[in-house]
Amino acid sequence: MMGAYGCVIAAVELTQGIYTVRRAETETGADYYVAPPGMGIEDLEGCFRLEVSGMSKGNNKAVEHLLFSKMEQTKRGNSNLPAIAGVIGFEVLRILIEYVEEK
Amino acid sequence: MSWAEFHQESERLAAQAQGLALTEPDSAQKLYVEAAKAEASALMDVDIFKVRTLGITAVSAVALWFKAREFAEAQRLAHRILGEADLPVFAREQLQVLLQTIWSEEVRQKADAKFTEGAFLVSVEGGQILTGGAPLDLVVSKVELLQSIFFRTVEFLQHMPHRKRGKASFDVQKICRPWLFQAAPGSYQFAVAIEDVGQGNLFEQVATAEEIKGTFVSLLHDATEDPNKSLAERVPDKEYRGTFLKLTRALAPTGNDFSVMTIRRDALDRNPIMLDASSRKVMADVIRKDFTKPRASGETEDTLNGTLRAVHLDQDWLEISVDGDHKKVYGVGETVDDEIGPLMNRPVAVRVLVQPSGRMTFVDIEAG
Repeated sequence: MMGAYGCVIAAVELTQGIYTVRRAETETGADYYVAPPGMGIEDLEGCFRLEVSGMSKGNNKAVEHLLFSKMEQTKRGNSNLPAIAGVIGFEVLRILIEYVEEK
Repeated sequence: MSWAEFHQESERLAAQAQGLALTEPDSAQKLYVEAAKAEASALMDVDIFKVRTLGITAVSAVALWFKAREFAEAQRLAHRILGEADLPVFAREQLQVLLQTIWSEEVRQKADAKFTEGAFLVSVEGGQILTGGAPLDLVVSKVELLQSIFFRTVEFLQHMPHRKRGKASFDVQKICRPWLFQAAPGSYQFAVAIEDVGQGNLFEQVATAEEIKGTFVSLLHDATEDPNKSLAERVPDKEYRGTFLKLTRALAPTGNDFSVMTIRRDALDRNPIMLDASSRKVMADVIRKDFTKPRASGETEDTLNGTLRAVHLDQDWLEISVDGDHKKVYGVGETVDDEIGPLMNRPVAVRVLVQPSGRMTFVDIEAG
């Protein structure tokens, strides 16, 4: 799982130009927060929460399904948005990133 | 020091603690305590108009006290914040969930029986599900399915022949017993803890309770995420694999009762198993491809939607009532009791092959 985080964080930096700035604990682990350069230093108000998931095996369709599931999970019952969902399929060497909007 | 400085210190300590959690749990616990103190200080320094930052930091501080196993301190802080601060909705809900998780953990710690570390958490949401409430028949059927899969996991690890008829033997049930606990109701949730019973069995126990729990969750994960490859690698035996796949498919939603079942390996699981309509379809496609009879020349495929009224696996037939008309379907002998038993007198969809004579042979069955 830490491998998935590292890869998705790097992909978000390269493709979106936003950086991981903070980490905060939750009941089930920790959330990472990303922000454009210069933001996220004094507070978390303008940050995106980063939701990451990975699969060691699975084809492209499985990775797309994982992204969809991750986005639905992120939207469901949790209004700590805005957020970015990022998933990685290690077998197919593919990373998918999507912004999650509030319903 | 400012919020940023306290929070940064807390991040550093928490990351260190996480790194030591498996190898040096006592050291990790001490680090979590220090991280919790730093985060609580950060919380005191948040500008109250920065509502999102306030909410996130509040949850983080309570979560850190929980991870430090300082349950009293975690509860004290959570109650104080909930009573005093104007929190955003997500933070209020997460703090309430944390409180319930802490109470459940305290209950399990006080229990007489020995449980494997932590419990896996099952939740259902959407459809008819309310926060903290769900139709009883739905909950009972899913709990029974999970228990079926669990005992099959034990049999699989014990290298026992694939069981087609009847319930798991008493000796299998005695190896490990799943228990239900109340869990924090984000939707409707329950926790399943494994009691390590394993004493005085008639046969040698191959796997530990921890291994059984790990394999059980891995099987569910593989069946849901990668039924083609990962499940086949983990379960080379085709009969076992087909049974695990069909029972896992039965956990996923079919209609409007609920929209997703989430299974977490423990309270800290960041990558839960999620069973929804699309994962049900993925599993159904694999079952159709690898575990059903191919159509012979002259046969046509059909689906009967009705109520399952009778089953006789030894005589190899089932009866389904379709709009009041009772139809008999043959060739069900290979179907296991776990799969078909819970569907009795319930709406079902039965896929059949219809021969030119009109005789119908069984292909597959799902809840309707």
